Amino acid sequence: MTYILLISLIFITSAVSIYMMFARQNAVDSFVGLSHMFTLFVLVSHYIELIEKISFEGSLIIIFGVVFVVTALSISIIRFKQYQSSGNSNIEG
Amino acid sequence: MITMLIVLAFIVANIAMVISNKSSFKILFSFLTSLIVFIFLNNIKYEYSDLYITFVIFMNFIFLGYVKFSQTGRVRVLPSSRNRMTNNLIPIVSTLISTLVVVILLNNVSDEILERDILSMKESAFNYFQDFNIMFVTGVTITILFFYIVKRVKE
Repeated sequence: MTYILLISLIFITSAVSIYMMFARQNAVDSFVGLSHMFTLFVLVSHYIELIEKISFEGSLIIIFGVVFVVTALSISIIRFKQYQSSGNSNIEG
Repeated sequence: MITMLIVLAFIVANIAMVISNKSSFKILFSFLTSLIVFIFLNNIKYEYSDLYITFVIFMNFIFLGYVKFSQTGRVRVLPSSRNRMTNNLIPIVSTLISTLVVVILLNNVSDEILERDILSMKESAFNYFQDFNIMFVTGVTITILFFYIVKRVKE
């Protein structure tokens, strides 16, 4: 039962993150899609751990977390720089 | 039964996140889904779920800071041409890189989903309402919802 739950959570997370990242081109949607992608990778790594009977000892979470946090920081900084130079056409509300 | 309830709550929070108009609510509902995943990982005794929730809190803090700062109007200038490249390229590139890592890892995984005794974990018979943390979180959420509804009704 928990197995099926894990797989269904992985599928729902991937579907929602892909929808949020590609269907609507807004800042918040891509941010939320990023955090869902992070959730998806953590779930997939745990699934691999369960199947292969190995342990990554949290290294994959640290790698993916650093990658996604740096991505979020750079996205926000780039957007602010871009808005200061050429203006913002879509209002984040 | 309780696992089905978790999946239902996850789906409801996802739908609310996709539907909601305001970006603050969108971030709030995405944080709710991350909390549900955290409770789930904690329940099957995954040791590194604390790391997961730490990174999720940090990312959500960055997102909320960005949204609230852009709502002050300090950055917003006159409307002009849309920034098509840098806005949407970076998340796609980063997710592609991470997907590559996952695909490389998945290369050696055999298809043993249908085998029964491969897992050491069993169906969890854990009473959620005996956990003090979950009781606290539900109490806080219900009070926040109550105050929000009172504020909305007054307007």
